[in-house]
Amino acid sequence: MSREMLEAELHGLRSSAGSSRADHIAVIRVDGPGAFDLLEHASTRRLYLREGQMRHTLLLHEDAGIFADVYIGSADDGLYVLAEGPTEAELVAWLQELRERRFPAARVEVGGQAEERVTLGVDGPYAWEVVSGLLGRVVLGMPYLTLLRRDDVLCLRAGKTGEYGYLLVVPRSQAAGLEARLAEVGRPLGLVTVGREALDVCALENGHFSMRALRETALARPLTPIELQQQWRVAYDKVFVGSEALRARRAEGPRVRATSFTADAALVPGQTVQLGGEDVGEVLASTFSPSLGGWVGTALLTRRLAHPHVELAARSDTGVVHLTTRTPPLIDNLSLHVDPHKHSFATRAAAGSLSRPETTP
Amino acid sequence: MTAARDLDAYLERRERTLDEVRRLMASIIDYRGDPADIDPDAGLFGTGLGLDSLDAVEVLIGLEIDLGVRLEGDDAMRLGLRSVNAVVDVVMRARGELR
Repeated sequence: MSREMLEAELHGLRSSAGSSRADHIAVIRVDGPGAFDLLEHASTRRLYLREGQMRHTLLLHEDAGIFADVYIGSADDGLYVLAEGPTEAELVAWLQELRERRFPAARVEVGGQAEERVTLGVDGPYAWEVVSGLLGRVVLGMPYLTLLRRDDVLCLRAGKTGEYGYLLVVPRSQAAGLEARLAEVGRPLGLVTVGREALDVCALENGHFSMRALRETALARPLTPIELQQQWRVAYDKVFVGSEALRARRAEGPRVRATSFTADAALVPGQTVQLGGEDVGEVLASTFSPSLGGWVGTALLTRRLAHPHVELAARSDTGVVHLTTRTPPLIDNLSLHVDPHKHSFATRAAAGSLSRPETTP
Repeated sequence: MTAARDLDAYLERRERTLDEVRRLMASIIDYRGDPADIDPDAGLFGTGLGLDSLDAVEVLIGLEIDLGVRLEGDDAMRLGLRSVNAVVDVVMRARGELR
């Protein structure tokens, strides 16, 4: 994709809303009397789910490396898992293997949804206006991390762009019609279609963890929630897949930590980061940010230096790239200024026009 | 912002302030674990520590009483309370330890 196209997508998403096909998210449904116990044992955090609620949690490998970044939600008398990382088939196989190993007598059905359903994403400061135009004003009252059903559409309030975000799980047979309706509703609201690349830029600008930023690294193998600053999704006082290895890693003390940065030129994953000529880390992910007018990314840095406002360097083929560690989010998201009960896209001048670089408070 | 010669001093102050902010957050959310497990970049509201609007008032009071930092103005509150590290930035700036 050209930089101009990407910039147009990002401008639309950051100023109005962007819709996307969330094909990178595997959606499965888990049913049966043993469904909750199975997912509770899989999840790094306690689920405590009531109907209509979701938890943002993780699934780990036994070595504590991250297997999936998941939302687990309760709806329609069953549990839904929306996962980034594994394919649907890998996720179903992982849960079935866990059931056979830990709960062999439990009655649990694990079913992939991809054959029958499509997942769409709508993100942006006016995403709520687009989705409420599609599904009704009930959407306006949805707190973050809740889900509701409207006819055949399962609507989840969640996202990783720093803006208002919704996921719509719709029957495959109705997807084309719903996308056409979405485009119609969204046209006067400035809705644009965005791809995964734009979503990944937004995630990096806001310091959100992305499964696509995971990579093999000699600094910490595997990368666990500790190095990736995802311990807010871990309950150390419960047993889950990978909990023993994670506790062992915690007892050792973290050697490295993922840290956001801005840079004055392009960097690539795996590139070595240095301080005074000494290797102190490596780049996990990096991209150009049109909103910031420069390069942003995440680096895995030695624990001592993994703080904001530290000036570092990386050698590239064309010379030295200067980078500065930052406090995420790097963006003052327009969604922070937009209140669905006060504003609308039509009166957007009152709230500002675009998410902009973070400024010092 | 950090010159090589005072990097060590900055990092030491940063760690110390991070510990203070972690302890403050742990007390507000009644965190039962080790405050050192609170990720520096964890968000305060929604994703992250999951604070609500009542907790926000407690953070402001805790910042003022425990750390001697008063946050005033919508921008300061909106931007300064987005993550643990954002709070650390606010405290260090108020103390003249960060430009």
